[in-house]
Amino acid sequence: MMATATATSSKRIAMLKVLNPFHIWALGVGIVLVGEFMGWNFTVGKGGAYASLIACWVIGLLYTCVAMIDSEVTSTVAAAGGQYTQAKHIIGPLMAFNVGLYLVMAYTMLCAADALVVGDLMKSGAAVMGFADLDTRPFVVLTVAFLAWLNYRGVFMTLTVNLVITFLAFASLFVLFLAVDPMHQGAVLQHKALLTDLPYGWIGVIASLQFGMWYYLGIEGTCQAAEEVRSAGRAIPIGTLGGMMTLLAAATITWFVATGLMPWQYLGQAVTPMYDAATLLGSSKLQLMLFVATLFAAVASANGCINDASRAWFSLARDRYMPVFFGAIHPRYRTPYRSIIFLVPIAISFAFTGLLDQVITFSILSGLLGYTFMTFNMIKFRKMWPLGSIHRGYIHPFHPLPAITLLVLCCATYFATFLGYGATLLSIMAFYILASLWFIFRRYQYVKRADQFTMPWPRPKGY
Amino acid sequence: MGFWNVLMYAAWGLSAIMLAWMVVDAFMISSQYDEEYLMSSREGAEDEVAHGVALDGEN
Repeated sequence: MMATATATSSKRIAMLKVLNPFHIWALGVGIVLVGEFMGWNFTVGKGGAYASLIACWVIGLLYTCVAMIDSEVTSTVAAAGGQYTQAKHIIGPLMAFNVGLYLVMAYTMLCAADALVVGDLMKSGAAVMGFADLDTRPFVVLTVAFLAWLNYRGVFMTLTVNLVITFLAFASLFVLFLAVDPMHQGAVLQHKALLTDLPYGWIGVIASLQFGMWYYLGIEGTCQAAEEVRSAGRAIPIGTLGGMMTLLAAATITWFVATGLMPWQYLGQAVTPMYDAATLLGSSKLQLMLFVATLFAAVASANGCINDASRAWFSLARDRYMPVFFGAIHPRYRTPYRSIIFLVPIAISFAFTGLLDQVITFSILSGLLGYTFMTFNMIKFRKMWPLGSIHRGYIHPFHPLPAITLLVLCCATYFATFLGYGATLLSIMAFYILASLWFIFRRYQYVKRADQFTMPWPRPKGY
Repeated sequence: MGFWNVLMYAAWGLSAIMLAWMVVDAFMISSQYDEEYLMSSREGAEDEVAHGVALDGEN
Protein backbone atom coordinates (compact mmCIF):
# COMPACT_ATOMS: atom_id res chain seq x y z
CA MET A 1 0.00 0.00 0.00
CA MET A 2 2.70 2.44 1.00
CA ALA A 3 4.76 1.25 -1.94
CA THR A 4 1.95 2.33 -4.25
CA ALA A 5 1.84 5.75 -2.67
CA THR A 6 5.61 6.19 -2.87
CA ALA A 7 5.82 4.98 -6.45
CA THR A 8 3.13 7.36 -7.62
CA SER A 9 4.13 10.45 -5.68
CA SER A 10 6.53 11.70 -8.33
CA LYS A 11 4.12 11.16 -11.25
CA ARG A 12 1.07 13.06 -12.39
CA ILE A 13 -2.27 11.41 -13.06
CA ALA A 14 -4.36 12.30 -16.12
CA MET A 15 -7.63 11.30 -17.70
CA LEU A 16 -7.39 8.75 -20.52
CA LYS A 17 -7.32 10.05 -24.08
CA VAL A 18 -9.44 7.35 -25.70
CA LEU A 19 -12.37 9.08 -27.39
CA ASN A 20 -12.90 9.67 -31.12
CA PRO A 21 -15.29 11.94 -33.10
CA PHE A 22 -18.10 9.35 -32.93
CA HIS A 23 -18.02 9.48 -29.13
CA ILE A 24 -18.17 13.27 -29.28
CA TRP A 25 -21.18 13.04 -31.62
CA ALA A 26 -22.81 10.58 -29.20
CA LEU A 27 -22.15 12.84 -26.23
CA GLY A 28 -23.64 15.93 -27.90
CA VAL A 29 -26.57 14.35 -29.74
CA GLY A 30 -27.22 11.94 -26.86
CA ILE A 31 -27.83 14.77 -24.40
CA VAL A 32 -30.16 16.58 -26.81
CA LEU A 33 -32.16 13.93 -28.63
CA VAL A 34 -34.73 13.41 -25.87
CA GLY A 35 -35.89 16.93 -26.74
CA GLU A 36 -37.08 15.67 -30.14
CA PHE A 37 -39.25 13.04 -28.45
CA MET A 38 -40.83 15.43 -25.95
CA GLY A 39 -40.67 19.07 -24.93
CA TRP A 40 -40.12 20.67 -28.36
CA ASN A 41 -43.88 20.56 -28.95
CA PHE A 42 -44.52 23.22 -26.26
CA THR A 43 -43.36 25.66 -28.98
CA VAL A 44 -46.55 24.67 -30.83
CA GLY A 45 -48.64 25.51 -27.76
CA LYS A 46 -47.00 28.95 -27.53
CA GLY A 47 -47.49 30.05 -31.11
CA GLY A 48 -48.90 27.34 -33.38
CA ALA A 49 -47.25 24.93 -35.81
CA TYR A 50 -45.55 27.54 -38.03
CA ALA A 51 -44.17 29.34 -34.96
CA SER A 52 -42.65 26.03 -33.91
CA LEU A 53 -40.93 25.67 -37.28
CA ILE A 54 -39.59 29.23 -37.08
CA ALA A 55 -38.34 28.54 -33.53
CA CYS A 56 -36.76 25.29 -34.74
CA TRP A 57 -34.67 27.10 -37.35
CA VAL A 58 -34.02 30.36 -35.46
CA ILE A 59 -32.83 28.50 -32.37
CA GLY A 60 -31.02 26.15 -34.76
CA LEU A 61 -29.09 29.22 -35.93
CA LEU A 62 -28.34 30.15 -32.29
CA TYR A 63 -26.92 26.69 -31.63
CA THR A 64 -25.02 26.62 -34.92
CA CYS A 65 -23.23 29.76 -33.70
CA VAL A 66 -22.62 28.06 -30.34
CA ALA A 67 -21.24 24.95 -32.07
CA MET A 68 -18.92 26.94 -34.36
CA ILE A 69 -17.56 29.13 -31.54
CA ASP A 70 -17.11 26.14 -29.23
CA SER A 71 -15.38 24.16 -31.94
CA GLU A 72 -12.81 26.88 -32.59
CA VAL A 73 -11.98 27.70 -28.98
CA THR A 74 -12.03 24.12 -27.70
CA SER A 75 -9.80 22.99 -30.55
CA THR A 76 -7.11 25.06 -28.81
CA VAL A 77 -7.97 24.12 -25.20
CA ALA A 78 -7.57 20.38 -24.73
CA ALA A 79 -8.96 20.54 -21.21
CA ALA A 80 -12.07 19.40 -19.38
CA GLY A 81 -14.45 22.11 -18.27
CA GLY A 82 -15.46 23.29 -21.75
CA GLN A 83 -16.88 26.81 -21.62
CA TYR A 84 -15.63 27.23 -18.03
CA THR A 85 -12.05 26.70 -19.18
CA GLN A 86 -12.59 29.02 -22.14
CA ALA A 87 -13.89 31.80 -19.86
CA LYS A 88 -11.03 31.29 -17.39
CA HIS A 89 -8.36 31.73 -20.03
CA ILE A 90 -10.03 34.50 -22.00
CA ILE A 91 -11.97 36.68 -19.55
CA GLY A 92 -11.16 35.92 -15.92
CA PRO A 93 -12.04 34.09 -12.70
CA LEU A 94 -15.48 35.58 -11.93
CA MET A 95 -16.93 34.81 -15.35
CA ALA A 96 -15.27 31.38 -15.28
CA PHE A 97 -16.82 30.60 -11.89
CA ASN A 98 -20.26 31.64 -13.13
CA VAL A 99 -19.98 29.68 -16.37
CA GLY A 100 -18.74 26.62 -14.45
CA LEU A 101 -21.69 26.87 -12.09
CA TYR A 102 -24.12 27.27 -15.02
CA LEU A 103 -22.71 24.09 -16.55
CA VAL A 104 -22.98 22.05 -13.35
CA MET A 105 -26.52 23.25 -12.64
CA ALA A 106 -27.71 22.89 -16.25
CA TYR A 107 -26.47 19.31 -16.65
CA THR A 108 -27.39 18.13 -13.15
CA MET A 109 -30.94 19.44 -13.53
CA LEU A 110 -31.25 18.04 -17.03
CA CYS A 111 -30.11 14.67 -15.67
CA ALA A 112 -32.80 14.89 -12.98
CA ALA A 113 -35.42 15.71 -15.60
CA ASP A 114 -34.31 12.78 -17.77
CA ALA A 115 -34.52 10.39 -14.80
CA LEU A 116 -38.04 11.70 -14.12
CA VAL A 117 -38.94 10.95 -17.74
CA VAL A 118 -37.62 7.38 -17.40
CA GLY A 119 -39.75 6.93 -14.27
CA ASP A 120 -42.84 8.31 -16.01
CA LEU A 121 -42.26 6.04 -19.02
CA MET A 122 -42.03 3.00 -16.75
CA LYS A 123 -45.29 4.06 -15.12
CA SER A 124 -46.97 4.44 -18.53
CA GLY A 125 -45.67 1.02 -19.62
CA ALA A 126 -46.94 -0.58 -16.41
CA ALA A 127 -50.33 1.09 -16.84
CA VAL A 128 -50.64 -0.29 -20.39
CA MET A 129 -49.88 -3.76 -18.99
CA GLY A 130 -52.53 -3.43 -16.27
CA PHE A 131 -50.55 -2.12 -13.26
CA ALA A 132 -51.95 1.32 -12.53
CA ASP A 133 -49.99 2.72 -9.57
CA LEU A 134 -46.33 2.06 -10.22
CA ASP A 135 -44.01 3.98 -7.89
CA THR A 136 -41.62 5.86 -10.20
CA ARG A 137 -38.99 6.59 -7.51
CA PRO A 138 -37.03 3.30 -7.67
CA PHE A 139 -36.63 3.70 -11.44
CA VAL A 140 -35.55 7.33 -11.10
CA VAL A 141 -32.89 6.30 -8.56
CA LEU A 142 -31.86 3.27 -10.61
CA THR A 143 -31.37 5.44 -13.72
CA VAL A 144 -29.08 7.88 -11.90
CA ALA A 145 -27.26 5.15 -9.94
CA PHE A 146 -26.60 2.92 -12.95
CA LEU A 147 -25.41 5.77 -15.16
CA ALA A 148 -23.21 7.19 -12.39
CA TRP A 149 -21.72 3.71 -11.94
CA LEU A 150 -21.09 3.47 -15.68
CA ASN A 151 -19.45 6.91 -15.70
CA TYR A 152 -17.38 5.97 -12.66
CA ARG A 153 -16.00 2.87 -14.43
CA GLY A 154 -14.64 4.69 -17.47
CA VAL A 155 -15.44 7.19 -20.18
CA PHE A 156 -14.90 4.88 -23.16
CA MET A 157 -17.63 2.40 -22.23
CA THR A 158 -19.92 5.22 -21.06
CA LEU A 159 -19.85 7.02 -24.39
CA THR A 160 -19.83 3.80 -26.43
CA VAL A 161 -23.15 2.90 -24.76
CA ASN A 162 -24.35 6.41 -25.59
CA LEU A 163 -23.30 5.96 -29.20
CA VAL A 164 -25.36 2.79 -29.60
CA ILE A 165 -28.56 3.96 -27.88
CA THR A 166 -28.42 7.45 -29.41
CA PHE A 167 -28.04 6.00 -32.90
CA LEU A 168 -31.00 3.65 -32.33
CA ALA A 169 -33.18 6.49 -31.01
CA PHE A 170 -32.20 8.69 -33.97
CA ALA A 171 -32.90 5.84 -36.43
CA SER A 172 -36.39 5.42 -34.96
CA LEU A 173 -37.24 8.99 -35.99
CA PHE A 174 -36.27 8.14 -39.57
CA VAL A 175 -38.34 4.95 -39.50
CA LEU A 176 -41.33 7.01 -38.31
CA PHE A 177 -40.65 9.52 -41.09
CA LEU A 178 -40.67 6.77 -43.71
CA ALA A 179 -43.81 5.22 -42.19
CA VAL A 180 -45.89 8.35 -42.83
CA ASP A 181 -45.21 8.18 -46.59
CA PRO A 182 -43.73 11.70 -46.74
CA MET A 183 -43.66 11.93 -50.55
CA HIS A 184 -47.45 11.64 -50.87
CA GLN A 185 -49.14 14.50 -49.06
CA GLY A 186 -52.67 13.54 -48.01
CA ALA A 187 -52.05 9.79 -47.91
CA VAL A 188 -51.14 9.88 -44.22
CA LEU A 189 -49.98 13.39 -43.47
CA GLN A 190 -52.64 16.13 -43.44
CA HIS A 191 -50.62 19.33 -43.42
CA LYS A 192 -53.08 21.17 -45.68
CA ALA A 193 -55.89 20.65 -43.20
CA LEU A 194 -53.91 20.93 -39.98
CA LEU A 195 -51.55 23.86 -40.58
CA THR A 196 -53.17 27.17 -39.64
CA ASP A 197 -52.02 30.78 -39.52
CA LEU A 198 -50.19 32.02 -36.42
CA PRO A 199 -52.90 31.78 -33.72
CA TYR A 200 -51.23 34.33 -31.41
CA GLY A 201 -49.48 36.40 -34.06
CA TRP A 202 -45.75 37.20 -34.01
CA ILE A 203 -45.64 37.53 -30.21
CA GLY A 204 -46.45 33.80 -30.17
CA VAL A 205 -43.43 33.20 -32.40
CA ILE A 206 -41.20 35.10 -29.94
CA ALA A 207 -42.73 33.20 -27.00
CA SER A 208 -42.01 29.88 -28.70
CA LEU A 209 -38.26 30.60 -28.82
CA GLN A 210 -37.83 29.52 -25.19
CA PHE A 211 -39.09 25.99 -25.82
CA GLY A 212 -37.30 25.93 -29.18
CA MET A 213 -34.15 25.34 -27.14
CA TRP A 214 -35.41 21.81 -26.41
CA TYR A 215 -34.51 20.91 -29.97
CA TYR A 216 -30.80 21.46 -29.30
CA LEU A 217 -30.10 22.08 -25.58
CA GLY A 218 -26.89 20.33 -24.58
CA ILE A 219 -24.98 20.06 -27.88
CA GLU A 220 -22.38 22.40 -26.38
CA GLY A 221 -21.58 19.63 -23.88
CA THR A 222 -19.20 18.07 -26.40
CA CYS A 223 -16.48 20.44 -25.14
CA GLN A 224 -16.39 18.71 -21.75
CA ALA A 225 -14.68 15.73 -23.37
CA ALA A 226 -11.77 17.79 -24.72
CA GLU A 227 -9.31 16.31 -22.21
CA GLU A 228 -10.31 12.73 -23.07
CA VAL A 229 -10.25 12.76 -26.89
CA ARG A 230 -7.27 11.51 -28.83
CA SER A 231 -7.14 14.78 -30.77
CA ALA A 232 -9.14 17.76 -29.52
CA GLY A 233 -8.33 19.77 -32.64
CA ARG A 234 -9.96 17.15 -34.86
CA ALA A 235 -12.55 15.30 -32.79
CA ILE A 236 -14.31 18.25 -31.13
CA PRO A 237 -15.11 20.18 -34.36
CA ILE A 238 -16.10 17.03 -36.30
CA GLY A 239 -18.24 15.62 -33.47
CA THR A 240 -19.87 18.94 -32.55
CA LEU A 241 -20.64 20.21 -36.05
CA GLY A 242 -21.69 16.71 -37.21
CA GLY A 243 -23.97 16.54 -34.17
CA MET A 244 -25.46 19.93 -35.00
CA MET A 245 -26.25 18.82 -38.56
CA THR A 246 -27.85 15.64 -37.20
CA LEU A 247 -30.02 17.65 -34.82
CA LEU A 248 -31.14 20.13 -37.49
CA ALA A 249 -32.30 17.19 -39.63
CA ALA A 250 -33.93 15.39 -36.69
CA ALA A 251 -35.73 18.54 -35.50
CA THR A 252 -37.15 19.28 -38.94
CA ILE A 253 -38.29 15.67 -39.43
CA THR A 254 -39.88 15.66 -35.99
CA TRP A 255 -41.83 18.83 -36.71
CA PHE A 256 -42.88 17.61 -40.17
CA VAL A 257 -44.26 14.27 -38.95
CA ALA A 258 -45.99 15.52 -35.81
CA THR A 259 -47.66 18.57 -37.33
CA GLY A 260 -48.96 16.47 -40.21
CA LEU A 261 -50.71 14.06 -37.84
CA MET A 262 -52.00 16.15 -34.92
CA PRO A 263 -53.79 19.50 -34.63
CA TRP A 264 -51.72 22.23 -32.95
CA GLN A 265 -54.15 22.50 -30.02
CA TYR A 266 -53.42 18.88 -29.03
CA LEU A 267 -49.77 18.81 -30.04
CA GLY A 268 -48.99 21.93 -27.98
CA GLN A 269 -49.70 20.16 -24.70
CA ALA A 270 -48.88 16.51 -25.48
CA VAL A 271 -46.45 14.79 -23.08
CA THR A 272 -45.01 12.27 -25.56
CA PRO A 273 -45.86 13.61 -29.05
CA MET A 274 -43.78 11.16 -31.07
CA TYR A 275 -45.24 8.17 -29.24
CA ASP A 276 -48.69 9.66 -29.88
CA ALA A 277 -47.79 9.98 -33.58
CA ALA A 278 -46.91 6.28 -33.70
CA THR A 279 -50.18 5.46 -31.91
CA LEU A 280 -52.17 7.40 -34.51
CA LEU A 281 -50.59 5.31 -37.27
CA GLY A 282 -52.20 2.23 -35.69
CA SER A 283 -49.09 0.06 -35.69
CA SER A 284 -48.25 -1.67 -32.42
CA LYS A 285 -44.69 -2.27 -33.69
CA LEU A 286 -44.17 1.45 -34.29
CA GLN A 287 -45.68 2.19 -30.86
CA LEU A 288 -43.27 -0.20 -29.17
CA MET A 289 -40.34 1.19 -31.18
CA LEU A 290 -41.14 4.79 -30.19
CA PHE A 291 -41.63 3.79 -26.56
CA VAL A 292 -38.21 2.13 -26.46
CA ALA A 293 -36.60 4.96 -28.46
CA THR A 294 -37.97 7.58 -26.03
CA LEU A 295 -36.58 5.53 -23.14
CA PHE A 296 -33.18 5.25 -24.89
CA ALA A 297 -33.13 8.98 -25.62
CA ALA A 298 -33.85 9.85 -21.97
CA VAL A 299 -31.17 7.43 -20.73
CA ALA A 300 -28.61 8.73 -23.25
CA SER A 301 -29.33 12.29 -22.19
CA ALA A 302 -28.96 11.50 -18.47
CA ASN A 303 -25.75 9.60 -19.23
CA GLY A 304 -24.20 12.52 -21.12
CA CYS A 305 -25.33 14.95 -18.42
CA ILE A 306 -23.59 12.98 -15.66
CA ASN A 307 -20.45 12.92 -17.81
CA ASP A 308 -20.55 16.68 -18.44
CA ALA A 309 -21.63 17.85 -14.96
CA SER A 310 -18.88 15.80 -13.33
CA ARG A 311 -16.20 17.20 -15.70
CA ALA A 312 -17.35 20.76 -15.04
CA TRP A 313 -17.36 20.21 -11.26
CA PHE A 314 -13.98 18.46 -11.48
CA SER A 315 -12.49 21.40 -13.41
CA LEU A 316 -13.79 23.93 -10.89
CA ALA A 317 -12.28 21.84 -8.08
CA ARG A 318 -8.94 21.31 -9.85
CA ASP A 319 -8.52 25.08 -9.99
CA ARG A 320 -9.72 25.37 -6.35
CA TYR A 321 -12.82 27.34 -7.33
CA MET A 322 -14.56 24.55 -5.41
CA PRO A 323 -13.02 22.25 -2.74
CA VAL A 324 -9.94 20.65 -4.28
CA PHE A 325 -11.03 17.25 -2.87
CA PHE A 326 -13.31 16.90 -5.92
CA GLY A 327 -10.39 17.38 -8.31
CA ALA A 328 -9.22 13.78 -7.86
CA ILE A 329 -8.93 11.25 -10.70
CA HIS A 330 -9.45 7.53 -10.20
CA PRO A 331 -6.07 5.80 -10.68
CA ARG A 332 -7.59 2.75 -12.39
CA TYR A 333 -10.58 4.10 -14.34
CA ARG A 334 -9.12 7.60 -14.89
CA THR A 335 -12.43 9.32 -14.24
CA PRO A 336 -13.26 12.25 -11.88
CA TYR A 337 -14.82 9.75 -9.50
CA ARG A 338 -15.41 12.00 -6.49
CA SER A 339 -17.26 14.54 -8.63
CA ILE A 340 -19.42 11.78 -10.09
CA ILE A 341 -20.39 10.47 -6.63
CA PHE A 342 -20.97 13.97 -5.26
CA LEU A 343 -23.50 14.88 -7.97
CA VAL A 344 -25.60 11.69 -7.56
CA PRO A 345 -27.57 12.77 -4.46
CA ILE A 346 -28.04 16.25 -5.92
CA ALA A 347 -29.53 14.88 -9.16
CA ILE A 348 -31.79 12.49 -7.22
CA SER A 349 -32.93 15.30 -4.91
CA PHE A 350 -33.91 17.49 -7.87
CA ALA A 351 -35.70 14.54 -9.45
CA PHE A 352 -37.66 13.77 -6.27
CA THR A 353 -39.14 17.26 -6.31
CA GLY A 354 -41.10 16.10 -9.37
CA LEU A 355 -41.14 19.67 -10.71
CA LEU A 356 -40.17 18.77 -14.28
CA ASP A 357 -40.99 22.12 -15.89
CA GLN A 358 -39.23 24.19 -13.18
CA VAL A 359 -36.18 21.92 -13.29
CA ILE A 360 -36.03 22.19 -17.07
CA THR A 361 -36.49 25.97 -17.00
CA PHE A 362 -33.57 26.31 -14.57
CA SER A 363 -31.50 24.14 -16.88
CA ILE A 364 -32.44 26.13 -20.01
CA LEU A 365 -31.71 29.48 -18.36
CA SER A 366 -28.37 28.29 -17.04
CA GLY A 367 -27.47 27.20 -20.57
CA LEU A 368 -28.64 30.51 -22.01
CA LEU A 369 -26.50 32.52 -19.59
CA GLY A 370 -23.52 30.45 -20.68
CA TYR A 371 -24.20 31.11 -24.39
CA THR A 372 -24.47 34.86 -23.72
CA PHE A 373 -21.02 34.92 -22.12
CA MET A 374 -19.60 32.92 -25.03
CA THR A 375 -20.13 35.89 -27.35
CA PHE A 376 -17.81 38.09 -25.25
CA ASN A 377 -15.35 35.21 -24.94
CA MET A 378 -15.16 34.79 -28.70
CA ILE A 379 -14.64 38.48 -29.49
CA LYS A 380 -11.87 38.72 -26.88
CA PHE A 381 -10.32 35.40 -27.93
CA ARG A 382 -9.76 36.60 -31.49
CA LYS A 383 -8.33 39.90 -30.18
CA MET A 384 -5.96 38.27 -27.69
CA TRP A 385 -4.87 35.41 -29.94
CA PRO A 386 -5.45 36.53 -33.57
CA LEU A 387 -5.42 34.01 -36.43
CA GLY A 388 -1.86 32.85 -37.04
CA SER A 389 -0.71 33.34 -33.45
CA ILE A 390 -1.95 30.02 -32.11
CA HIS A 391 -2.71 26.61 -33.61
CA ARG A 392 -6.43 26.13 -34.15
CA GLY A 393 -7.95 22.79 -35.13
CA TYR A 394 -10.90 24.67 -36.63
CA ILE A 395 -11.48 28.31 -37.62
CA HIS A 396 -15.11 29.41 -37.78
CA PRO A 397 -16.07 31.64 -40.72
CA PHE A 398 -17.47 35.19 -40.86
CA HIS A 399 -16.18 36.33 -37.47
CA PRO A 400 -17.63 38.36 -35.67
CA LEU A 401 -21.01 37.73 -37.32
CA PRO A 402 -21.72 34.42 -35.46
CA ALA A 403 -20.88 36.01 -32.09
CA ILE A 404 -23.14 39.02 -32.76
CA THR A 405 -25.95 36.76 -34.06
CA LEU A 406 -25.63 34.62 -30.95
CA LEU A 407 -25.92 37.65 -28.66
CA VAL A 408 -29.01 38.97 -30.48
CA LEU A 409 -30.74 35.58 -30.41
CA CYS A 410 -29.89 35.09 -26.72
CA CYS A 411 -31.53 38.47 -25.94
CA ALA A 412 -34.65 37.45 -27.89
CA THR A 413 -34.80 34.16 -25.96
CA TYR A 414 -34.42 35.99 -22.61
CA PHE A 415 -37.43 38.08 -23.58
CA ALA A 416 -39.35 34.93 -24.55
CA THR A 417 -38.48 33.35 -21.19
CA PHE A 418 -39.53 36.50 -19.36
CA LEU A 419 -42.96 36.27 -21.04
CA GLY A 420 -43.54 32.74 -19.73
CA TYR A 421 -41.34 32.38 -16.64
CA GLY A 422 -40.53 35.93 -15.49
CA ALA A 423 -40.39 35.10 -11.77
CA THR A 424 -38.21 32.03 -12.39
CA LEU A 425 -35.85 34.07 -14.60
CA LEU A 426 -35.40 36.74 -11.92
CA SER A 427 -34.92 34.21 -9.10
CA ILE A 428 -32.28 32.34 -11.10
CA MET A 429 -30.47 35.62 -11.80
CA ALA A 430 -30.57 36.38 -8.04
CA PHE A 431 -29.16 32.91 -7.26
CA TYR A 432 -26.17 33.41 -9.55
CA ILE A 433 -25.53 36.95 -8.23
CA LEU A 434 -25.44 35.59 -4.65
CA ALA A 435 -23.13 32.76 -5.75
CA SER A 436 -20.83 35.33 -7.39
CA LEU A 437 -20.67 37.36 -4.17
CA TRP A 438 -19.78 34.19 -2.23
CA PHE A 439 -17.03 33.45 -4.76
CA ILE A 440 -15.53 36.95 -4.58
CA PHE A 441 -15.62 37.40 -0.81
CA ARG A 442 -15.16 33.84 0.47
CA ARG A 443 -13.84 31.40 -2.10
CA TYR A 444 -11.35 33.20 -4.32
CA GLN A 445 -8.83 33.52 -1.46
CA TYR A 446 -8.19 29.76 -1.74
CA VAL A 447 -7.43 29.84 -5.47
CA LYS A 448 -3.77 29.46 -6.39
CA ARG A 449 -3.85 31.96 -9.22
CA ALA A 450 -0.80 30.83 -11.18
CA ASP A 451 -1.77 27.14 -10.96
CA GLN A 452 -4.92 27.73 -13.00
CA PHE A 453 -3.01 28.35 -16.19
CA THR A 454 -0.93 25.36 -17.21
CA MET A 455 -1.84 25.28 -20.93
CA PRO A 456 1.15 25.83 -23.24
CA TRP A 457 -0.43 28.91 -24.79
CA PRO A 458 1.62 31.87 -26.04
CA ARG A 459 1.39 35.23 -24.30
CA PRO A 460 -1.74 37.05 -25.53
CA LYS A 461 -1.42 40.04 -27.81
CA GLY A 462 -1.04 43.27 -25.84
CA TYR A 463 0.08 41.58 -22.59
CA MET B 1 -46.29 -10.23 -4.91
CA GLY B 2 -46.74 -9.33 -8.59
CA PHE B 3 -44.13 -8.78 -11.29
CA TRP B 4 -44.13 -4.98 -10.98
CA ASN B 5 -43.69 -5.08 -7.21
CA VAL B 6 -40.72 -7.40 -7.63
CA LEU B 7 -39.32 -5.06 -10.29
CA MET B 8 -39.60 -2.08 -7.92
CA TYR B 9 -37.76 -3.90 -5.14
CA ALA B 10 -35.14 -5.07 -7.63
CA ALA B 11 -34.63 -1.46 -8.78
CA TRP B 12 -34.15 -0.28 -5.18
CA GLY B 13 -31.76 -3.18 -4.50
CA LEU B 14 -29.66 -2.68 -7.63
CA SER B 15 -29.43 1.05 -6.98
CA ALA B 16 -28.24 0.46 -3.43
CA ILE B 17 -25.62 -2.06 -4.57
CA MET B 18 -24.18 0.23 -7.25
CA LEU B 19 -24.13 3.31 -5.02
CA ALA B 20 -22.54 1.35 -2.17
CA TRP B 21 -19.95 -0.13 -4.56
CA MET B 22 -18.88 3.34 -5.70
CA VAL B 23 -18.62 4.72 -2.17
CA VAL B 24 -16.64 1.71 -0.91
CA ASP B 25 -14.32 1.82 -3.92
CA ALA B 26 -13.75 5.55 -3.41
CA PHE B 27 -12.76 4.96 0.22
CA MET B 28 -10.44 2.12 -0.78
CA ILE B 29 -8.74 4.28 -3.39
CA SER B 30 -8.26 7.06 -0.83
CA SER B 31 -6.61 4.62 1.55
CA GLN B 32 -4.35 3.07 -1.10
CA TYR B 33 -3.09 6.15 -2.93
CA ASP B 34 -1.49 9.41 -1.95
CA GLU B 35 -3.95 12.34 -2.07
CA GLU B 36 -1.36 14.48 -3.81
CA TYR B 37 -1.13 11.93 -6.62
CA LEU B 38 -4.92 11.60 -6.99
CA MET B 39 -5.23 15.36 -7.38
CA SER B 40 -2.11 15.91 -9.48
CA SER B 41 -3.75 16.29 -12.90
CA ARG B 42 -3.15 19.50 -14.84
CA GLU B 43 -5.06 20.84 -17.81
CA GLY B 44 -3.20 20.43 -21.06
CA ALA B 45 -0.81 17.88 -19.56
CA GLU B 46 0.22 14.84 -21.62
CA ASP B 47 -1.39 16.24 -24.74
CA GLU B 48 0.37 14.52 -27.59
CA VAL B 49 -1.03 16.88 -30.23
CA ALA B 50 0.30 20.40 -30.33
CA HIS B 51 -3.04 22.20 -30.15
CA GLY B 52 -3.00 25.60 -28.57
CA VAL B 53 0.77 26.11 -28.68
CA ALA B 54 2.37 29.11 -30.31
CA LEU B 55 3.05 28.85 -34.02
CA ASP B 56 6.58 29.28 -35.35
CA GLY B 57 7.83 32.80 -35.23
CA GLU B 58 5.27 33.95 -32.69
CA ASN B 59 5.84 34.96 -29.10
